[in-house]
Amino acid sequence: MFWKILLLTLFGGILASNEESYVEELLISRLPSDHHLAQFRFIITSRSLELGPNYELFPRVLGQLLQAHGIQELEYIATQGVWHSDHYGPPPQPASSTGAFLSAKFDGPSNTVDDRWLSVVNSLNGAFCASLLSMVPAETYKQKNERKGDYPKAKKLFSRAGTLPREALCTENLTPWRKLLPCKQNGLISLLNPHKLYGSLFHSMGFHIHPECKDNSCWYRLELSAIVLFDVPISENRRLDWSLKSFFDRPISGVCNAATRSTVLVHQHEEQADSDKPADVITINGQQFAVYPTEQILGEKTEGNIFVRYTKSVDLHKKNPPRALSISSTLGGKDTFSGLLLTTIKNNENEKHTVVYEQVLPWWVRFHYHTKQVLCHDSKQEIVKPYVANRVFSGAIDRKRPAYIQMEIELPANSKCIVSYNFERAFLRMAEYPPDANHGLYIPAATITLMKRISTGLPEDSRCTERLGNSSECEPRAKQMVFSNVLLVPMPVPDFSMPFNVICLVGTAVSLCFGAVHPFSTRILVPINEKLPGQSIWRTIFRGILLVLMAGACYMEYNNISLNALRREIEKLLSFQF
Amino acid sequence: MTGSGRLPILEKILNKAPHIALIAYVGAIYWAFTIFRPEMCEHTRISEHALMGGVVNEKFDQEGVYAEVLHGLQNKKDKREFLLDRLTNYGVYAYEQRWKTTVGVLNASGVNVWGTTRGFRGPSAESILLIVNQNDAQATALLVALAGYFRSQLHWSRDIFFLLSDGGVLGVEAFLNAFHLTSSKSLAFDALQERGDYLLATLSFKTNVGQKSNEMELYLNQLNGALPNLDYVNTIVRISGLGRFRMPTVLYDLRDSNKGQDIPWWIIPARALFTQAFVSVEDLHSLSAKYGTSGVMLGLPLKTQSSVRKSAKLIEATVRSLNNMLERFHQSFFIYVLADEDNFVSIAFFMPILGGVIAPLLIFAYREWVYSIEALEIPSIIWVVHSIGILTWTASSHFFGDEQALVPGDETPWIILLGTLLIPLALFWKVPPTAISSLRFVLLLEAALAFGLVSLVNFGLALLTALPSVPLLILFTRPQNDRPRYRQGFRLMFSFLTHPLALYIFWNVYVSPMLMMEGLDAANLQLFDVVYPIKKIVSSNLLVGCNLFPLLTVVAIPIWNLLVSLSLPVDSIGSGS
Repeated sequence: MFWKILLLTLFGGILASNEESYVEELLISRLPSDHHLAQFRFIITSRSLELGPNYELFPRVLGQLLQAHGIQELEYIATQGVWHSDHYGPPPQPASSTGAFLSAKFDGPSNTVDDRWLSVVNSLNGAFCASLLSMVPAETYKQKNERKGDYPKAKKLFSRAGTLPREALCTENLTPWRKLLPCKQNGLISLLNPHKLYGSLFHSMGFHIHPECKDNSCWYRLELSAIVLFDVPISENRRLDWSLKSFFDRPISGVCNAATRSTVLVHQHEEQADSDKPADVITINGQQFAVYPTEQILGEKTEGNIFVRYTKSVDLHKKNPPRALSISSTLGGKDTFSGLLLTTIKNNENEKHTVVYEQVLPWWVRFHYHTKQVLCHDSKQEIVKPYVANRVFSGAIDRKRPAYIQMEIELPANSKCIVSYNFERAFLRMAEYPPDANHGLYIPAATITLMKRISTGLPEDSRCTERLGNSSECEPRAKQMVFSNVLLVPMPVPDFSMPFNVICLVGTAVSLCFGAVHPFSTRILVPINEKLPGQSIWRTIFRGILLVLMAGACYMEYNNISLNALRREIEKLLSFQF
Repeated sequence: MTGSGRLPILEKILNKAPHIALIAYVGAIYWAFTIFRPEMCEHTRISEHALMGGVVNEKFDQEGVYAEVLHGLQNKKDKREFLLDRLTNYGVYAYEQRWKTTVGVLNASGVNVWGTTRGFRGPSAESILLIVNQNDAQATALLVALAGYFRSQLHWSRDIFFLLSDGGVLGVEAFLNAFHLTSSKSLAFDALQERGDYLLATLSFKTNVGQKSNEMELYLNQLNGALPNLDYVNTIVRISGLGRFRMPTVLYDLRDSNKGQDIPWWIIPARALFTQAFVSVEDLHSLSAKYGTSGVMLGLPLKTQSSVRKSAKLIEATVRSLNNMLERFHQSFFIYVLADEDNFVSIAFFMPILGGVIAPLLIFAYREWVYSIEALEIPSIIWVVHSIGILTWTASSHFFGDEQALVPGDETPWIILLGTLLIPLALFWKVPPTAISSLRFVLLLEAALAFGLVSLVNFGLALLTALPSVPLLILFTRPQNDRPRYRQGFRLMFSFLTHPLALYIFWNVYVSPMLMMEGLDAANLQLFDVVYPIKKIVSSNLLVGCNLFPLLTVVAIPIWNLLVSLSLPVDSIGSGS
């Protein structure tokens, strides 16, 4: 009995770690626009919802982060480039707009959520060598979309999310991301060559953790994803043929022994003429995929590389049918004070689509909600007012939180819908400008979440490819999201170096001095009556009011209270009283 | 303090007003001749170091594409279809944009061809716009070749837009309006099929016809006196002067070889001021400033294969510099006068010129206030002439803005407008004798203020109008009650000749040739020569928003009317002051 207990104590962790699993796969597909898309998915599952103290495959840094902060779901995606949905079609999921996106769902007491969120942002900022700190509090909002995980019993979760459109993605972020994986050198990870990643049209990497349950047992599922979009060959012979080496400039090196499955899936295109012989061909949602296990790719014949050849070269004149659904945003206006934010959502399908439109607007964009317009042009170019429901709006608070708009829009068939609002730009304080103040500040991309998916022909959820060999219909769990582009807003910037400003400043100073200071300092005050003027009670009251106003102004300035905040407080006070 | 309570220096100014005014005026001209000398000017420099002009290795090698497109443009019937086909073939997303005018002054329409290649090394939130005129086959061919080449490159962090404008500057106006989601009263146009975001700069180019094969012409003047940021100008000048380009920059069509020999040094700054003042739309680049963007235009030698390659590389180097920029243009000057391509005068140096020129107006206004005015009495003629000026402007804008108002070939409305501007309203409005000093004071002050205000946005216009106007204003506002009758008559007749349009003709006949510009022939003057500038400023006001017409009707003509009023013989306006 003793030996059994000793053995269990010593090897318990190891035995238990066998329950953790790791799967890696690479899906290569050709988009209707003839661009090639490579999607890396690395999936790690934990033993249970209780993480640690021993970690075998599940990354310790994330496990500890979840446990310490009471996080149920955590998502971080960093993206370089823009997914032009009007050319490429709906983006691969999980998708994110340009920059960094972080979201977390917390359980536990509500009064500590903001502190825990701040701690999470700080931790991930360090862990990923990113610059996420400016996310809190000014860029943080409460996301109103649905949960992605399974929960055995009803749980109240508190959501926090933030986007930083300007956050750049580089090798500094790639290295810590790689370190989350059980295999850092061998397996599919060896294909992630920074030179090729950052020279591609679009690249995103990130992870998503959420709980999953089956048969009364639950665990965390961590999915690390990297997406790379390769350009069509413009020069030379315009051949679309590819190999792993041509895409990543290197073959796969070594097998990741920790992976229970390591495969490359290649979407079978109708123009495909020749390729390495796959181990299997599977069908998902009516589309065929060639399956290449890593061991096979590393065989003598292929030496870590596989290829595909097509019958035709790229035809840039080909009139592709318009993509089913696309979104893009633009800023209008010529001046640096006001502006127009316009988001165009196109539904090119013959059926109507209901989408949830979301837009986060930083506090320095003082948009006029009453100017919000949602109008659609149908296929006959006639203006139609679409059905809009479930509006959610939370206003911005200066320096504290952004404005958040959400609404459900029913897009008519074959329509172009425009969501627009006017805005003004706030005058920032000197210290609030970034070092390159004249560059401008970014507005995060607008998002639409589709209530009914648009088929891309690709397995958009890694669960779809888990049971290889089974021809199946696969409906991904997460809702399909499409992002617009981020927007750059040139801000009104003070510049005291230019002559006009010098003239204004000097003129103001001189007029102030000579308007008040000079007479006061040079005049001799002589009483015209021996008796001093009597103190009127109204004069005293008036002076008292002035004094209170001045004290209030000083207090507001000292505590960074804006006039809007003051108005809100007064309104609150009045509504409380009446 | 003196007995009057004024400072002694003010007393001296009042007592010796004519002398001091003359010294200020002459001193300002002397100062201008001093600071605009190239050797006295500041040397240009690039303040925005991220531009790194010319540091990159340009690799353009698509002369074959250029030749192919040029050949196609010369032989294809449907040129637009051909351009769309070529741009698409090189992987550029290409579209058409239709536009037409909606005003009576001009019935024009066109179809722009435009394309874009997206920058993927950034958030794709900024853009650079390259513009050519579709009528310029060589420039068009070069733009298409550049578009294909840029599409194949990996450098871009900004979106690059290519505009092949149909209809010149109006095509550009239609595109920029659609780009910025703004509407225009004078143009109807299609919305762009793809989004465009914050425009960093525009670069237009055209074929440099009939000039030397190695020269690059640089055009920078923009609407209403605006200028591109000096960093942008300097970057292009620096790049073109690099050893591998050796393309001397030519400003205002004045050749480098002539400088200091056939033409005096002051011609370039004088031409700079003249162009800023009166050439509202220089070319395709001129409307960029209206949208808060710096824009320049290059005249490139596109004669031989090597000059095409050199020109293309010059554009490549410029666009890659713009692609490097960290922020929008702001570091350097927006208000300057170029003395030549390497020297400039900053606002701090040239503003005193205007101060000196308008000082006489202020001195005489002050003297009028101190010595002549007992009680300020604003005569009603001031309100009348200005109200009529505003009415003329708005009514003309309304009439000529109406699409159906004008019959082609019918000059009657123009002649009526000309007549309205020429009528001396002062003849019909009597000024009370007690108000003459006040009128004189207001006129001098208004003129000084108008010149000062205009100089803040268009220094050239303020200076070039102030230089002849100030002496005339001083002369014609002098009291005349003790003068013989015949001299009063002469003065009245001469005051009619100070009409802005008369000054315009005088300028074109006598001053333009001195600036080596095409002027009018005094012996063959026709009505058309007077109607033409009116047509031009009304059209440019309605079509692109040039502000010369409102300035003429609301400020210049009323000032002239007030001048005429003060020149009337004493009996006509009362018993004198």
